[in-house]
Formats: sequence, structure tokens, C-alpha cells
Amino acid sequence: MSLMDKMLALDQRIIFALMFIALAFPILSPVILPMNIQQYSRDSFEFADSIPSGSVVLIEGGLGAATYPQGGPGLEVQIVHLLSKDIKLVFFSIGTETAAWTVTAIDNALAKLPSGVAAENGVNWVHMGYVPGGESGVAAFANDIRSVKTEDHFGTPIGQIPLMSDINKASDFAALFWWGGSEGSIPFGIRQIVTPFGVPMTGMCTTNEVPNYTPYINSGQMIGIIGGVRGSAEYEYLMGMPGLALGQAMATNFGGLLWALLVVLGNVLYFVARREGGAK
Amino acid sequence: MALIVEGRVIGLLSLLIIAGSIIYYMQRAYSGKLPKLRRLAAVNQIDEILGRCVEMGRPAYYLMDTVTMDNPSVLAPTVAAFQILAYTARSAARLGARFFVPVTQGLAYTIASEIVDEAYKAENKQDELKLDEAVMYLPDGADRMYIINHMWSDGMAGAFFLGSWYHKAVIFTENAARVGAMMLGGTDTTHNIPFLVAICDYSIIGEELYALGAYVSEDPTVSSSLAGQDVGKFIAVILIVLGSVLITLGMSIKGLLSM
Amino acid sequence: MSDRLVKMQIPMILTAVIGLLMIIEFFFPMPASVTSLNVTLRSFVTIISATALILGTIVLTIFHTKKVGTRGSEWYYSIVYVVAFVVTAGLGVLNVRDTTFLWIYNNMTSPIGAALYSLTAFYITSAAYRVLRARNWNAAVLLVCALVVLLMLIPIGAILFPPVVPLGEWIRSFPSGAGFRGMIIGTSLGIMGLGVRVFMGRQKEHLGIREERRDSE
Repeated sequence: MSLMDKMLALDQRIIFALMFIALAFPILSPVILPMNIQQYSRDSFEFADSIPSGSVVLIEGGLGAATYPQGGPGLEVQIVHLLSKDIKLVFFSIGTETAAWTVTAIDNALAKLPSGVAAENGVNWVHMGYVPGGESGVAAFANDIRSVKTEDHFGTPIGQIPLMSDINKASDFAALFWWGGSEGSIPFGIRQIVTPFGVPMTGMCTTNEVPNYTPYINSGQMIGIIGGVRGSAEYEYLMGMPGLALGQAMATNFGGLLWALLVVLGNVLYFVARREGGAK
Repeated sequence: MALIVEGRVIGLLSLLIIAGSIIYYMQRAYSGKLPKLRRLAAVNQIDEILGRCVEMGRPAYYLMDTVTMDNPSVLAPTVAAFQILAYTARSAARLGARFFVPVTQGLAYTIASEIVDEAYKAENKQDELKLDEAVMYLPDGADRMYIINHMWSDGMAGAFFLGSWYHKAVIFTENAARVGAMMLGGTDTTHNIPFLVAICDYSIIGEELYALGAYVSEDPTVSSSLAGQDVGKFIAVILIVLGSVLITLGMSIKGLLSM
Repeated sequence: MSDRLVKMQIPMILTAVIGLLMIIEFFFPMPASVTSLNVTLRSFVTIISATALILGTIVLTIFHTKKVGTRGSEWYYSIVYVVAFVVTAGLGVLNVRDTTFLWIYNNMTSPIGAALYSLTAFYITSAAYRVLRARNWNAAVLLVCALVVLLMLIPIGAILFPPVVPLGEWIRSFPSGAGFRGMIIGTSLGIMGLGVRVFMGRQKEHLGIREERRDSE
């Protein structure tokens, strides 16, 4: 096997090692490089920022162990953002694992809250916990919360939660935030809450899923989207609260550039080999 | 009180027309009038991949990724993947290909076991089947390393990636390609279709996953239902054009959509 | 009860009746009794998914215990499974909110989940290096689009190559958006077709009874 053939069929392990270095180096010694804000992230942030104080919003917490590193920092900052504006938050999750991770996000966000911001469980926020049944569960929850949930995630009966006293269906919410991670569940919110109840919605998904939801954004069914760790980093940046996501987004700079370089290298080698009559 | 829930009239109408069309074409097929349907190349590719495995004396893997059947959006592609599994397992039994089906959920595991067992029985090849080795339960998390390692150690010659595929699509297909397996991939998770199309030798996209399930059922009334689905596509095309024209003319269709 | 009745007819009737109940509830205002019945039926999903987990755990434990007993290939890994299972399940049964149990989840299960997900970054690079080559015009278009969208997505991309932002946004919103829209419509129709076939009992391979139907008809 010639050197050219070896390079064209580059050993996976070399690629992995290069990628590991490209990602680990900026995480271990963070380098903050300039960054522009994507329009989808800006739209999503401005939508959250435009919600009037005193409104009640619904948040689906769909981040799990695998996707929390991407979306978790963004969700935490959004909770800080909304609570700081005196907006009441009602959380729910359509997965059992994600319901637990939503508690983590709330706890972390509460720890970041500036002093003086009200954040009492049951008054300023409530976590309704796991809603079973996937999309049909979301439909039932949207129509009649009490038919699906009789108590919150921590076992408090719904009748004893002051925040829920006047809330029982999707139309009682001013906005919907769907932190779907990689659940693929954003269309559940669009189909069961946005379309029938006219509640405006934004959301978050992993980077690779963003193109999946552009049709909904273009049609106005969603207002922007937070895409992956970069979206979270942009939220942190717009809030002036640099955190974990911003550091990780910087790592994606190096990883992405390496990816592009490898692809370009592969093509250069391919054309050289083709000229020599080797590659097919 | 409204007869129909507000905002769902258009949805109900669409459902009635499309479901009605599907039932209509199936009823026509009962009376012997079969619609002309494009044959999916994937039907032949299944046998081609299995044939290659037999020639090389190496196994074929049938992977379905996410099979959490309590999630409706995963349930539909999983059911379609089971339908294709029934055909593929039977072909594997007939041709004598070694067959391996790892499954990541308990419920789906029992169903897959049943399907493979039935397929081998139908071909009178039960003696050649070691069910606990052919269909294996690998909990989500343990599956990636096990499958990747065995792909390399078995030197598998063919692989099927059908069902509800998420990020594992890249991980498994890239390893299968490096091992040199011939692959057929298909999923309805739109954002992962590009990965399967780019890496696999053969691919089916989106609804073809469901269509393939109908084709391989070998029941003409079932495959005739695909003609009914096409009625839905024509309606979608007409509505897209109509909506584009109305919006271009400055007419709002929001009121219509919220009926 | 005959095998056919248990394995085919009862599941099919249940599928059709429960499916129709859900559809009717979605489109038509229903009395509280129907809604409450549907809520109960949906809560069965939780029970079924929990049962699936238990079922899987039993299958896995039997498999690994047998392997250790018979000294099957790589049987020593099975010991790791059995020990990990006994320790974690034991702690969970004693107290699911116990710090040791949560420690296992937070420090072992959770990082493993994140690490496995991150494998995608490595394999997608390996795949891109191998596959994304301008072998013909179609492949060249794919290659250029991939590079533009990637550069648009990485934070520094727009600073290094400003034109990638409008170009990448255009690719994502129009050709890609249109394609995805078509796929979403097609897939939805495919799911409807599958639903009708299953409701009508014409397609039942997922029940594991494909061959029984052919033999019996």
C-alpha cells in the first residue's frame, strides 16, 4: 500500500486522536474567541425577553444525561432570565430521566439567581414532573392538566400549589419553551399546543436536529431555536452570564475547523491520486 | 359546544380523506383491481446483502437503534422495522445467512425474538437457529461498544439499519463501512436520513421505510394501501401551491388553519 | 384459548379500539368519562415501559448468570455485570434517594451516557473524511454545502469567512428546509398508512405472527 493509499484510507484512530486533542485542548485551557450570534438564537432570546412580567409560561424539560451538556447551560440561564423578569414557570417532561434532569437545571439556575429575585417553589415555579404517553400525553396535558397530573414532581397535590390555582390548560400560558434535546419531540409541542391553542413557542434541540425544525421556523410555528451547545453559549453571551456552554462552544471551533481541514485534505489527496490513476 | 375541537377541523378532514383513500385502494385490491406501484429496489437489495453474507460466510446484522415502543414517534418506525425484519429473517433462514439482531429494549426484544423464531420455523430451519445468540438484548449504553467490537471481530458482510435512528446512525454505519459490510439504511427521523444516505450502499428515505414494510408483506391488499397514501401527497402538493399563491397575493390563510 | 386468539385477534382488537378512542378524543369534545378512560389507558404506557425494563433486566441477568455458570466466551465480563447489577439494584431498592445510589448515577451512568453520545463527533469526522469527496458534481455540491453550513455553525466561522452566514442560512432555510418539509409530509403519510393497515388487521408482522397468518389463510 502506497503512502497515498494509506492517507486516503487514514486510520480511524489517527482521526480520533486529532479530534480528541482539538476538543480537549480548548476545554482544558479555555480560549474565548470572537463569536457572532445566530439569528435563530437571537430570535429565541428576544422572544423570551418580550414576555411581560407576571405571565405564566410552560417549559418542557427534555434534556437527559447525553444532551444536558449541550442544552443544560442554556436552560439554566433561561430560567434565570425568566425568573428575573418575574415570569412564572411551569415545567413538565415527557421522559422519566429528563424529568430528573429538569430538577438539576432548576437547582443550578436557582443557585445562579441574583439576590432578591423571587424563586419560591409552587409560587414562582412548579415542576409537574413526568407526563406519560408521549405525544398523546402532551395532548391530554394541554387540554386538561388535572386529568393527567394530580401532584407535582415532588408529590405536592396540585390543589396545594398556588401557582396552579388558575392554570389548567395550554391556553393559560403566555408562551411555550420546548427544551427537547434530542428527543425529537418539538413537533409534539407544535401539533398539540401551538396549532390548537395559539401559544407561541420557541425551543432547543441538538445541533444536528436544527435543519429538521427550520420548516416550522420559516412557517412561523416556532420563533427561533437554540441549537446545541452553541445556542446555549449564545444565550449565556446575550444574558452576560458566560458559563460552561461558552467554553464548550469554543472547543467546537477547533473541532469544526479540524473537521473541515480533514475533509479538504481528503479531497486534495483524492484528486492527486485520481490524476495518478489510483483513486476511484 | 362545538362538534369538533377548535383548530382541528382541517386535521380531521385530512385524516378522513387520506385514511378513506387508503381503505378504498385496499378494498379495490380485494376485488382484484391492483394499482400500478413502483417496485422498491430495496426489496431486492435485502436478498443481495444476505446473499453476499452467505458467499463470504459472514453474518448480517439487523440494527434498529431506538426501539422504546412506549414513545409513539418511535413506535411507528419500530413496527415498520419489525415488518421488514420478518421478511429479512425469513430470507436469512432460507439462504442460510448468519443473522444477528441486537435490541435495546425488553419489550422489543421479546417481539424480535418471536419474529425471528417464527421466520426460521416457517423455513423449517429451527435447527440452525440459536435464538439467544441471534437476538440479543443489549441495554441502551452497552450496545454501542458491544456491537462495534463484534462488527470488527465477526467481520460482518452485511448490515441493515432500519427503524428510528438517532445519533447512533453515524457511529454504527461508519464502523460497518470500515469493516466492509454492504449496507441498507432507512429511517423516518429526518435529520438522520442524510447520514444513512451518505454512508450506506443502499438507502430508503422517510416514508419508504413504511412502504418497504408493506411491500415485503407479500400481500397485494397491503401494498395497495400505498396508492392511498399517494392521494395524500397529491393533496399536499395542491395545498402547498394554493397556499403559496394565496400568500403571494397577500391573502391570509391563518383563519382557515385555525378552524 | 387458542394460540391464534391470544397472539393475534385480541391484540389486534385492542389496538384498533384503543387507537380509535385516542383519535376520537383528539378531534371531538368528549365527556369526562371517556377522557378519564383515555388518561388511564395512557398511564398504562408508564407501566408497560417499566415492565419492559424489568423484562430486559431479567433476560440480561439470566444470560450473564448462565454465561458465568458455563464459562462461556468472555465470561469474566459477565461477572462485572452481575456485581454491578446486584450493587446498584440493591442500593436502589434500599433507598433510591440514597447518596451512594445517586453517586453511582451522577458519576458513572451520567458521564458514560454523555461520553457515548460524544462518540458521534469522532465517527462523523471519520465518515466525512472517507465519504465527502467530490467524486462527481452531485458529491461536489454536497461537499460544498457541508463545508459552508459547518463554518456557519462554528462560532468563529462567521468571523473568518463572513459570507458563510447568509449562504449557510439560505441553504438551511430553502433547499434543505424544502427537502425536510417534503420528507416530514411523506413520513406522516407513511405513518398514517401503517396505522390504517394495522387498525384493519392487514399487517401484523410486528406481533411476530407473519407465518401463522400465511399458514392459516
